[in-house]
Amino acid sequence: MSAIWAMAIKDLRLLSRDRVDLFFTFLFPVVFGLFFGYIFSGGGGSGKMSVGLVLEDTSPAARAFANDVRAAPEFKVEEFSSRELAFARVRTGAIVAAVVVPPGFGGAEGGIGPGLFQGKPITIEGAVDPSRRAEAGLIAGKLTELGFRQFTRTFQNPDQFRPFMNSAREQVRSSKDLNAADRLVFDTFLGALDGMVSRNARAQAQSQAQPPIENQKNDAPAAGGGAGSGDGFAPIRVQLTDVTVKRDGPPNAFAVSFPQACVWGLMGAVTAFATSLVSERTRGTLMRLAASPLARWHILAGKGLACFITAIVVQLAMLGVAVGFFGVRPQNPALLALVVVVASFGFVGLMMLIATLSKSEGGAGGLGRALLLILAMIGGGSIPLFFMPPFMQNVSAVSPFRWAIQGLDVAIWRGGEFSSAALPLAILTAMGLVGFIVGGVLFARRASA
Amino acid sequence: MYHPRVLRLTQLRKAFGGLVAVDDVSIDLRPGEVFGLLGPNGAGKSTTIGMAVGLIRPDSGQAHLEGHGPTSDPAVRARIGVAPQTLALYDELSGEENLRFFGSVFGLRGERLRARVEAVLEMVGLSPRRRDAVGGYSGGMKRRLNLAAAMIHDPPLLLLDEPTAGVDPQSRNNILDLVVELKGQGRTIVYTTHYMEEAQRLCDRVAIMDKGKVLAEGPVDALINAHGGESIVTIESLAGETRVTTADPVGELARRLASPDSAVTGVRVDRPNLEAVFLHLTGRRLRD
Repeated sequence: MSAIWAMAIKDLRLLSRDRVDLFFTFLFPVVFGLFFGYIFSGGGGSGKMSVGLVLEDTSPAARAFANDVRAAPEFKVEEFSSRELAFARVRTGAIVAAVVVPPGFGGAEGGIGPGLFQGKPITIEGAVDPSRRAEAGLIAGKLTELGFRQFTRTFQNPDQFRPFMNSAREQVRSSKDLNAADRLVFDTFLGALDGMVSRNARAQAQSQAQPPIENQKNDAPAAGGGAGSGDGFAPIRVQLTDVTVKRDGPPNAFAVSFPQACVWGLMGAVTAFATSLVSERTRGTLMRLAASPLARWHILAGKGLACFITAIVVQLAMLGVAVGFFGVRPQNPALLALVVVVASFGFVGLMMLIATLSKSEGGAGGLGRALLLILAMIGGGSIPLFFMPPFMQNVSAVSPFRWAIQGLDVAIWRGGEFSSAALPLAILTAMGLVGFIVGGVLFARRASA
Repeated sequence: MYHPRVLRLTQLRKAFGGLVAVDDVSIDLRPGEVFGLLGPNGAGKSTTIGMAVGLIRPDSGQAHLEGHGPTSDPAVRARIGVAPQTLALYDELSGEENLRFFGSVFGLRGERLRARVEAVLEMVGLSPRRRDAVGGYSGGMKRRLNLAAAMIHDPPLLLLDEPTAGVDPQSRNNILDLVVELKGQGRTIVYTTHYMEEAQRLCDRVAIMDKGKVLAEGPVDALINAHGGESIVTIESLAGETRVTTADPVGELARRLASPDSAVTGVRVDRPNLEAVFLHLTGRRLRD
């Protein structure tokens, strides 16, 4: 086994020193994944988070809050007439979250302003795709900020604020829990507050040069933290609940393009190592290896192991980029790991076959690239299978690229069910075994000759 | 302590299609000798070496390492070092990395591997360039590294196929000195070459092959005596130059100098050499 490791390490070292092979194995697939990801996503996307908005309150405060949500640069807002419709959209994965402005949001009782005096925070409700928690956190933070902005706006507007104030003063006066002295203190405080708000409004109206209140106050909530996030009372709470997501399609274009990038990486690895086996023959090192205590299968296994390791690494690198930078969230990571391993095995078998069919480096490189390019094209390596006509989808069955992509798709966005990946896994395993056996026999024959 | 017969090739035969590359070749190698395998291109030397180290399966006959078994057995091959005529090296790796790799495929590990790498790099004079990529080595350096790779596992039997092909005089001299040093260490060496002066200088015995057969085998002097022909004595005098072919050049020279008519101004004796033997046995006709 140590001799096989030695062979594999040597081959990985050789790969690391071949810039062309390195480019085609690791960098080209990333470029491919990005290129097609941006093309399929319509020009690269806006970078905005898609959010559904349901307005269940028609008060001026609710409408103003909704306008703020619509105007937020972080959001791409899609509006719904009911929360059921919005939540269903979240379940399909089409939008990250649905935000509901509930009834009473701007009302005199328990709304965004009076809630402060009643110890009852207003709750902005919603649903979120649990696989996209990072975006959900950003959405909750932004909604809290906008809620505080509306809260501040309410306090700045005597017309909106006075009914809440009057209601609060009436509650203080009629309260049986407060003694006379306390009632006097609260009534005086609320009266002074009312007077301050009125004076501020008059001063605002007189000063044309003064910038909008919203802008002045924008940062205020951020300093106090998000509603509901601290231990103390907060007038606004954002409550986004997880929904079970059932997507019919990929969450984004990169979930499609990066499995393709994975198989292009596999193609790079196969081409690099198919050539390297022939190189051993042409540079004479195969004779030295054959004259060593190594058996033929040691040499093949060493090559295969190096190719296998490279295939695993290149796929993990592609998936790492997809997850880390493009929000791709595999639905079944364990199945994904299995597909990565089995796809690597299948492609190593293909490498064995190509390597042993060719007598020269040029032949192995040419045959490898030509064969793999055709297999990649018909197997959905460049154009996704679901864009192809039915007859091409049938033809693609001969391509290991098709089965690798299908397996990766199942694990990443096609439901993550093992049963759905069983056929691709079985076919890739069979292809790998056939490649190993036929390649081994051809290699032994050629070595003897 | 090596066995009296290190390697025994018995009635080896190999045909590729209708072409018989090696036909009934039997050679015994004795411990500590340098054995020259000579022959024109296509004589069957490489096929014989391939069968000797188990690379090529003979149609009939055996290659046997005495006391260990057939060379087709991987464990037996571990006792043989091969320096192929083609530079069997990885240009992208450094000299040290090449040696570490070839050492590891022969089962060397850890301190033993490190020590052997150090030793062979020192032997071939490549220690200062050990970390440079082999692609940047000169032809002579590559040849020396090729030889070092054959010695990395300290084998008692070395098969060196044209080890000085295409190298500069300095590297050639280094390699020839190294072969002498290896012989001095008690190793048995099979040496194939086209340079007859090398074979004559290094080899205790030689076999001359052609068309798959061993035409002659034995100590160099014995072959010269048997197949080299007579010496040529050239005598220069005031009357001109006289060339005499004779089996007894000393006697002929003595007679000429003792003659009263002698007005000898110079003499030269061209004794037969291995090249004469080679050309005598294989002919002067050009080969493809």
